Parts: sequence; structure tokens; C-alpha cells
Amino acid sequence: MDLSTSGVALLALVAVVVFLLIYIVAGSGKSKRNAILIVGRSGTGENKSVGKTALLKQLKNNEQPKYGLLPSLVVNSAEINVNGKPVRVMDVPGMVPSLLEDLLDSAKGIVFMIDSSEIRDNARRDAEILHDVLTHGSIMKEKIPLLIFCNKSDLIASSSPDAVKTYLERELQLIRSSAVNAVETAGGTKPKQKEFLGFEEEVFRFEHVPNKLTFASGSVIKGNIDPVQKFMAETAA
Amino acid sequence: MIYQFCIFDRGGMVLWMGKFEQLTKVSGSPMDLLVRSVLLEDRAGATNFACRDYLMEWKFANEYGLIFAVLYSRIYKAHYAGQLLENVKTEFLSQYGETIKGGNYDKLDLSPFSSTFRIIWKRVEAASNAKPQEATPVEQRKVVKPITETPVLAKPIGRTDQAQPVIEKKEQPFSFGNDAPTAPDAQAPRASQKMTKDDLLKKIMARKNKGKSNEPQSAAPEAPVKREKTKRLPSENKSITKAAMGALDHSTGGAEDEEEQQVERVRQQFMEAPASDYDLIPADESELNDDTVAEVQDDSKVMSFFKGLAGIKELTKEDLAPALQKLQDQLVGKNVAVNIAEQLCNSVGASLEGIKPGSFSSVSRLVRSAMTDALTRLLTPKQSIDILSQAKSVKKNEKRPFVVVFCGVNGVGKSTSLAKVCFYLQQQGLVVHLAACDTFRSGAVEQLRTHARCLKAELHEQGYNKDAASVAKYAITTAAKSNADVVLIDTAGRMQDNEPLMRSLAKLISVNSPDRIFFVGEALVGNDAVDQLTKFDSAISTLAPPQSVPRHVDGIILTKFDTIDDKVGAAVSMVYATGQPIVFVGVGQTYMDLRKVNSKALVNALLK
Repeated sequence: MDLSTSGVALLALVAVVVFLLIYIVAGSGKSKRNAILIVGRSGTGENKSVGKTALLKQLKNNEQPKYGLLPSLVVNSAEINVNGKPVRVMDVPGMVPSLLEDLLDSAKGIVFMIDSSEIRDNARRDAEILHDVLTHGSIMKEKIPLLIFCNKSDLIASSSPDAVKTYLERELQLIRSSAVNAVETAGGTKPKQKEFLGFEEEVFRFEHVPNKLTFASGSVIKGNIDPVQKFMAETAA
Repeated sequence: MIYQFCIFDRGGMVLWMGKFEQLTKVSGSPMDLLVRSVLLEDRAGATNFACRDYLMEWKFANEYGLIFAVLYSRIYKAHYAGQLLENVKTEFLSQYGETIKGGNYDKLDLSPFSSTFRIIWKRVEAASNAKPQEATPVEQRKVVKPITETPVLAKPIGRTDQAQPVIEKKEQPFSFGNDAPTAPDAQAPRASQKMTKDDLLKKIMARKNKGKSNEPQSAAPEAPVKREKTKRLPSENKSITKAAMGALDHSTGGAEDEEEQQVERVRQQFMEAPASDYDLIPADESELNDDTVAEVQDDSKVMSFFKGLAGIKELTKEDLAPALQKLQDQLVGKNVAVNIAEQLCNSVGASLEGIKPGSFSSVSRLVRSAMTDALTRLLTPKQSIDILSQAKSVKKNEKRPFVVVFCGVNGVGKSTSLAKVCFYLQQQGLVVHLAACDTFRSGAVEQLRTHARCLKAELHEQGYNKDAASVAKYAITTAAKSNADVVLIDTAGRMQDNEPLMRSLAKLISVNSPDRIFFVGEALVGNDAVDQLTKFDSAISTLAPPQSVPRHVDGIILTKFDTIDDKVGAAVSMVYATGQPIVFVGVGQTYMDLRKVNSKALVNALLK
């Protein structure tokens, strides 16, 4: 009698330990921040793409694919060597916004790509995505660093990072107040109240955001991506 | 006549591309358009995709994550395109399949494949020229056109069924001696045209008398005579007095006080707080969804080791068919339009073919999770639906009011939704003006006037039987002068097949160039949703006067959402049909009953 109960107890203990191990192994991946995300708007028919996948390919292979690129349907992921350490970089397709929301929880740093030659026409859409990124979950609370990379600086019509900053600030000024005043969603639990960017009484400036924001320009096809590599080195450390 | 052949992966990298002829008349890359319009929108189950003068076909190699696509001329069809795709796919995978499975194929040099491709192409072309051209079976001939190119008029407008036999008669082959097939048709229209009212009545009476022979014959001729002479009056044999007429006329206001009281009463009715908080899915059920998501994640981490061990054979169409059929039936049961459900299931099937499921995930679970992804992708808006910031931006940058047109078929809730949107925008501090361009339906202007009074918004109207486009134009210019922020234009409900009315809507839109065109549809609609939306969309773009920028429906407002429990399929049908997002959802009669789409809750409700 004694033996069987102790046997059962031992079995139960082993089972509990095994389950705990499985839970830890499975659960540890859930909320760990271990990747750098490349995000940005998707090119539509009239507007060209910003170059997220191109940046990833440049980081990975130091060259662009010979036959070019098409819009991404899935996340592209790669391990990039930064100062000897492998860093996971994920290129999130711009056309599938649902993917971005799931991945933002695992972001250690975010590279936000902008087409600096077409910022005037697309500032609104760029600002909307940037707003969604900044107000998502705990991005502001945990002060995840962002690099706003103004791509296509090799083109004559490209704007400087300061001009891009001004365009985005102007659009974000309008977007932020309407986001918190948006209509509720139908059914299900009420979504968490969105954070308000910046300060209510003052006009929006990027300095008001607690995250570390860097504005830089470069050109992926010319291989000029030093700001990205610098950002990765700083974030991975 | 093949223009391009492309092999690319799902991440966007093009592994190999062959360009054979110069593309004309196409701006941008058609392959780009293929990915955006078809593969992303989950129309991958279709057989081909037409883009102006070109046709595209594709094949998946899902196990390798590759897509093979060919672009050829629509006029000089390449009948061998499907065979070419198949052969190239087999050859490519046999040569490079292993490297691709390995994962790192960025530096793979695929230029030698060009010569291989040319050999295969010549072989397939020769083979297809050698065998006689068989009539392609009907299902292969079906061309999936992009929604905008669907012709507006499916059936002739305004003609009764009597006229149709006449048309058929003309199209029949002219034959001298063979009267048998044409005779009945030829007789029918003539006969129906000749039949007079008396003949018709005699026929009806004869049929009636067959059953009841006791019926006195004298009653029969009396009945038709009476029917001709009596006219419809609300009260028989009473002449309408002027006082009664005045009481019936509600278009001019009564006493001021009485009016104010009435307005106050209506306002209370519209603005009362909803009795219970509207809940599509009870709160605890949505948490249930999160658990299942976590479950899948655990699955992938712990079980992937075991999955890798099992070498299960690849999934074929037959394996997927039962699960897909079950899923399709479930979707149709939730009020998704039948062909939309079919196309979605085909697309999911196409993306799963050739995948090895692994021992611990059943086919049905795989199919279900793929469908969940597809539906979430479909229902999450790809562009911003925040009209508040858009309106503010337009007012700030262009110093003019933001104009929105509400269109839809009869009785879906356009005026009510318009009032709700007006209330919402007013709460956010914008000055909203309303324009009553429903100049057809009796009471439409009064309805909008009541709303305008409740909301204290300015109404621009010119009564009935006026040209809607000019009423709208006048309203917008007046609103601009008084510095309004937003103008909401209410239009008359119209059936999607009614060409003159669709033309007048297109004219209203082209004359006034609104910033947004919202199609208002009710959630109760079934398969007709697709028809409504596609015809409205194509009418607005094709029936507009020439030299005007073609417009499309920019957003969908889904009304009467509180009446459907969890049969929310109409949302999917509408978004799939246009590719435009659902901007607002109407969940009741009061001004506060305006919501946004919660894509997670919707997908849950559909796949519960």
C-alpha cells in the first residue's frame, strides 16, 4: 500500500516537473523581445515600394536579387551578424497589417522604412503606420528604440530626414487625436485604450515620444545602409 | 505569345524571370498586380487573372514556398500555358528543389535555367501545335476578370418577360423547311400580344368555373366591369376637404412650439443610451480564442521536433477536399455568399496543396488555421478607415469641406447611417452639413430634416424631383462658403440593375468629385451582396461621363448588424467583392449605435 502511493506520488512529481519544463520552454518564446523588425508601408499600384525586403537582402547578402523583388506575402526572416553576434531581423510585409500586430510584441528594435522621394504624397499613410507602431501595446512603455530610415536618398527628388520629420509630425498631429476618439469596435472585448502620442496641450513633436528615435537617410540599392548597421549594433548590445 | 515567365517565392524574391516580348500599354509590373490583386486577396483558387490585354496563370509549389507564373497575350492565347507551367515546375524542382528546401538560395545562380526553359517551351509549343485544337472544357474557359471589368448590365433593363421570346426568335438560325422548333416560339409572342383583357378574363373565369360549376354565370361579367370603374380612394364617396388636405401636408411646419416639442421627442428617441451594451461575442468567448492561438504556438515549439520525424506524404486535392467542403458549408451557413465561400476555399486549398502536414496536426486543423489567417487578412483594413483625421487633413490642407456620398440599394439604412456618422463627427468637433439628394422617395427630405434638427446640423435641400447632382453641387458650394468641415450627401436607394439610376449616380459622383463614396449594405443580405457591390462599383466607374477620373466604392458601411447574431458572412462577401474595408458597422437605431469592425471577433464568429 505504502509503496504504491509513494510510487504514484513520485509519478505525479515527475509529471509535474515535465510539464513545468515544457511550459517554460514553450512560454519563454512568448513574450521575449529578440528581433529587429523592418516595417513600413506597402507600395500600391501607383506608389513604389519603400524597400523593406530590399534592405533585408542587402543586409544578408550585400547585394540585391538579380531578377528583382515582388511584394512580399509572408515575413522574411534572417540572422544577421552584428559584431560577431547573430541578430534576428524580420521584414514584415506592408500589405498584411495583421501580421505586424502579432510581431510587435517580439520587437527589440524597429527600423521604419520611408521612401524619401515620395514622402509628400505618402506622408499620411506612413504616419498612420508609424502611429500604429508607436501606440501598440508596450512599445512606448518599454521605450523600444526606432530608426526612421529615409530610403532612396540617391534620387534627386528625395527629401532630407529633417523634412521627413516635419511631414510626419504634421500628419501625426491630426492622427493622434482621432485615434483615441475612434468609434468602438463591434462585439468582443473592448480593445485597450490607445496611448496618446505626445502631450495634449502642445503641438506634436517627436521629442515628446519617450522612445529613442533616430532619423537617418541612405540608399539600399547603392549599398548605403550604415545607419541601419549602426542601429543594429546599438540595439543588439 | 508569352511575354513573361516568373518564378518567385512568398517572401517576394524573384528567383528567375524570363522576359520575351516588350510589354506595351501596361504601367507598372503586371506580376506586381498579380500578387497584389490575386494572391494577397485570396483569389488564388481562380484559374487565371486578366489585366487589360494580358492574361496570367500560375501554379503553386507549396512545399517549397514557390510560385510559378506566366503572362501571355489575351488575343493570341497560349493554350499551352498550363502545360508549360506544369513542365517548368517539374523540371525546376528536380534541378533546384533540394537547394531551395535547404533555405538559403539567395545566391543561387539561375541564369543557366534560361536555356532549359527555352527547350521546355519549344517542346510544349510544338506538342500543342501538333495535336488538334480541342474545345477547351467550359470550366477552363472561365476567365476571372478583375471586379472592375465586369459588365454592368447582366440583363436588359426595363423590359418585361414578354419581350424576350421576340429576341430569341431573331437569333435562331434561319431555316427554310424546318418550322417545328421555331413555330412555338414564333407563335408565343404574337399570341400574347393579341390576347386582350377580355380574353384573359374569360380564361380566368373558365378556369374558375371548372372547379365550381354552381357559380352563377352572371356574377362573372359583373366583377370585371366593377373593377374597371371603381377608383382607389382612402375613404369612398367622400370628397377631400381643404382642411383635410392641410392636415395631410406635413412638408410645411405647424406651430413653432409644437414643432420644438416634436423635435425634442424625436431627439430623445434617437439619442437614448442603448438598453444593453451590444455584444456580438460574449467576452469570455473571445478569451477562448487567445487560448487556441497559444495552443498553436506551443504546438510549433514542442511538437516540431516530433513533426520532423514523421515523413507523412504530401497533401493532395483529394485529401483536402472533405475538410474544405465542410468549411465551405460552414461559411455558407454563416451567410457568406456561395461563390465567395467557394473561391476562398479554393484559394486556401491551393495554398495548402503539397504541404506535409506532420503527424500531430490533422488536415482539418491545418485547413482551419489557414482559413483563419486568410479571413483575418481579408477583414483587417489595408488602408486607414479613420475618416476623422482624413476630414481634418483635407480641411487643413485644401481649405474645403470633406465630401462623402452614401449610396446603396433601397431600404438598407443610408439616411440612418448618415445621421450616425454626422453625430460622431460632430462629437469630435467638426461642423457637418447634410445634403438631401434623395429627391425621389417621399419623405426622404423630411426624414433628413428631422435628423438635421435633432443634430443641430445644417441641411441643404431643394425638395423633390430635382436633379440630384445639381442639388449636391449647390450644397457643397454653400457649405464651403460657410466654412463647413464635412458635407454628407444622402442619395436615393436604387437597384443595381437599374441603368438610368446608376447613370445618374455616376453623374452625381463625377460632377461633385466626393472624397469618399461609401456603399451602405445591410448585414442581412445574402448572395445578393456580391451582385450589388460589383454592379455599383462598375457602374460608378464605367457609366461616368467620359473624360472623368474613374471612381470606385471607397468603403463599406454594414448596417443592421444587431439583427444577425453570429451570421456575419455578409461582411466577408462585401470585403471580398470590392477589396475595400468596412468603415463602420451600424448596430441599432440611435445615433450612438456606430461601431468599427473587430476582425478577430468576426473571424471567431465565422469559424466557431
